[in-house]
Amino acid sequence: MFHKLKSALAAVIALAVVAPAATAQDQRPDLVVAVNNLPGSLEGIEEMGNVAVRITYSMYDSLIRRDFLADGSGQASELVPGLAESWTRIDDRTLELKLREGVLFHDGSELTADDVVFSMTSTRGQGQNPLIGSAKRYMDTISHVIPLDKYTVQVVSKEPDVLLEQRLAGYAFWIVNAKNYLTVGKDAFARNPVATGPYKMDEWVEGEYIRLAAHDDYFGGKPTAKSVTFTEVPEMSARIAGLVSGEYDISVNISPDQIPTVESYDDLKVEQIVLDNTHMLIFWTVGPLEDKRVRQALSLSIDRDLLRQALWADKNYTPNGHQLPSYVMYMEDYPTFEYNVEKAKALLAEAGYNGEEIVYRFPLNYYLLSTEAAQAMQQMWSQAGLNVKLEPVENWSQVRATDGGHIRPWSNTHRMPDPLGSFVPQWGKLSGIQNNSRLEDRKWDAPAAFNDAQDVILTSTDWDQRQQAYREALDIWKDEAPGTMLYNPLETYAMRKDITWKPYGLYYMDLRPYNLQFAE
Amino acid sequence: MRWTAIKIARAGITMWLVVTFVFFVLRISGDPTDMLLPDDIDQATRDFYRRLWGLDQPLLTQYWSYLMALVQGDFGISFRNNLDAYDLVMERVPKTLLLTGTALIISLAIGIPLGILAALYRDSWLDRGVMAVAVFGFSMPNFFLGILLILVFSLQLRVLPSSGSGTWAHLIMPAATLGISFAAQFARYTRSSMIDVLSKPYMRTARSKGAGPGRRVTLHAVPNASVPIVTILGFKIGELIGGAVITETVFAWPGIGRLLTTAVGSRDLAVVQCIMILLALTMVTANAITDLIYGWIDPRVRVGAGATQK
Repeated sequence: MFHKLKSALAAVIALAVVAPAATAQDQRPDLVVAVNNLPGSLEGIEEMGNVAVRITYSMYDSLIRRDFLADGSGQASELVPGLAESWTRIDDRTLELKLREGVLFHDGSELTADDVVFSMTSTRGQGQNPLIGSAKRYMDTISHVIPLDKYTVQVVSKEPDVLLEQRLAGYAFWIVNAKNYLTVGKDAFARNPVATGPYKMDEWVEGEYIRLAAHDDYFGGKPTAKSVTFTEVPEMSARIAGLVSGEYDISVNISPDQIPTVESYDDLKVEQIVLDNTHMLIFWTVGPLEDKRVRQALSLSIDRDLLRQALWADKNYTPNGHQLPSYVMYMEDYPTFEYNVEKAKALLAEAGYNGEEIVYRFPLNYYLLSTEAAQAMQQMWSQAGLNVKLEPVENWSQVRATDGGHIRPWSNTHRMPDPLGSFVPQWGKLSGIQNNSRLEDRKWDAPAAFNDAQDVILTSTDWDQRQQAYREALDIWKDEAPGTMLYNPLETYAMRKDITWKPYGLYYMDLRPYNLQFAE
Repeated sequence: MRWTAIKIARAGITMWLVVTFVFFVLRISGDPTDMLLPDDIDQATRDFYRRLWGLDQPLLTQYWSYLMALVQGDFGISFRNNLDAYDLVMERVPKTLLLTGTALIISLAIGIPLGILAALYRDSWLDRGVMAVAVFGFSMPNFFLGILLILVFSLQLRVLPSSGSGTWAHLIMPAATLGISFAAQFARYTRSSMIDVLSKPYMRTARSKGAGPGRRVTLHAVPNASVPIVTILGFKIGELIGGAVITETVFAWPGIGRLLTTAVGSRDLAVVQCIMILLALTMVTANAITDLIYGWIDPRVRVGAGATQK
């Protein structure tokens, strides 16, 4: 025991002595980002949660890139060249892409069509015997990839797909080094991925930090930081304190009520972004909620404006229907969610609702400010005569328990600027809502017209027809009210004032040279 | 021999109970796929991971295969990152020992002298002052003291790093947080034990023999007063591994306690079990060591133990 202690002491001393030395030639700064948690895997398609993508976005590139900054907002969805310098449609299932020449991987080898083929084939993440489960839903639509020559590939989808370009720019389609992946295997690759991004693996100390080093041969220009260290700091107060004391340059996941604290320091600022994610409620079609009028009343009696003002300082918004302004088919004229207590009361009277208990069960500390929102909504619901009991629980298993509740919270991430990126997978006929294997009695029996409209969105290649079907589906969804939307949450980053960096609507942290600058 | 065998058997049963209890509590209270996968993931993917991790098997089957692997020294693989649970835990041990060890040394160095002084100058302003500080230190929760230190030394003065474990400076605040509450306990126990001893007849004898005050305290009073302190020390050594959960979280100190909280949160069974076994082992060992030290400082215990062995 004492041996271990002694060697640990020695290591700490050695570190303390050596660390401040050896930084003479490279003038670029070392960026330190304090994060709430570190992922278990850096294989881009194995872990796709916010904790993972904020790191992997700096290690991998996709063929086509979504330019979040096209309008300066961080939420734009313009497509620009990534590893592919150009692309053309061959037919409604096939896209031909011309790769950039001379793109170097972290190990110095050159990107070729073979790497693209491997990155999208079943031996990596999809197909009959997937290595990795969570990529399936993203990559399932791809049939195969044909390498035409060293720098040209054709990506072929199983069905006609108008969104193929968007898909290639979105989740999961990160290009890996095929040779390295096949040599070391999935598990080793997940600890030390070899890809083309601006930063490469330097050191990973489990539970402490992941340090990436600049990939100076990056095709998008020399990275502006010499290294980027993602340090795990679970406590928000500690993430702020470390920023103040100068240990960190950027701290993620800061709650809105801490903004004045951060801004009280001359050398610190906050960057905020409304996420491409919506906090939702699910109304299970059981008990008093079997009657859709009760579900409509639940939605009608929520004052979303007040919720946003009170909890989010009115810096975020509620989408008008299940869509975002960045959607390709965005319908600006689609009505917002209505707040009308009188109408809610009338509907409840019509439905013969007599104050039967409605249980809202939610996990504590999962969605930011969800407890506060629940308490506020309970009051709003009672204004309309709805008797809602709050049941906070510790974890999701308890929320999903068979005996549990009539309402639960949820969040829908808009993974592509299209209903196929969120609305269809989350509420469509293959969704868990309509196919609830664990809670058979609670699955939503959607009207046939709803699922027909979703089929059109999925298969049609005519944008007008798709938009028409989308509007129909949204109308039915609102009328049936199997759930409702509250608002899109705000993500707050606290950081040093002399760093210029913009957050995006998805949890990616883009540290490429165009989005990370240090003042002299 | 028989005595040792019974001890070992008893320890074994304790370990089995711990393992079983933790297994069922963790499995019944939450599904790991709920904790580790995004909340909007589809059922097929969820099922894929349930199969991958063997969670689709009946609970007793899972328990049996877990137990059998454990007996062969296989602690299992972490759900979270596919790494060996034993390696993950062992990697954290030095960090936790560095923190708790430093805290223990600080607390002994402060707590015992203060306790002795308080007893020697009983009912004086010194005694009252020390005891007031001790009550304060003992009753202040770790998370509160920790955040208070961060507020003062990181946010206001900006002199100490608030989290991590990179340098010596990182050690100061977490070790102080932990050490202050330990020190308060040692001071209180030392004081009461010393007061008890000082009134014993042998102290009067020592005085009448002409022993000076320094000699009386160091050679007569302190050794006799140390028995209850050793008991407390035994507990503290047992806590060395697992006793810093809150402090480690507040200061982002990458030790066992932090690993335990994340592992419980994500129902990462293999890691939790491995830590629990380590904790139980430390406790059992610490108790055994305490027994031995009793014998060394108090000959009566040694004689007693010898007598019952026969």
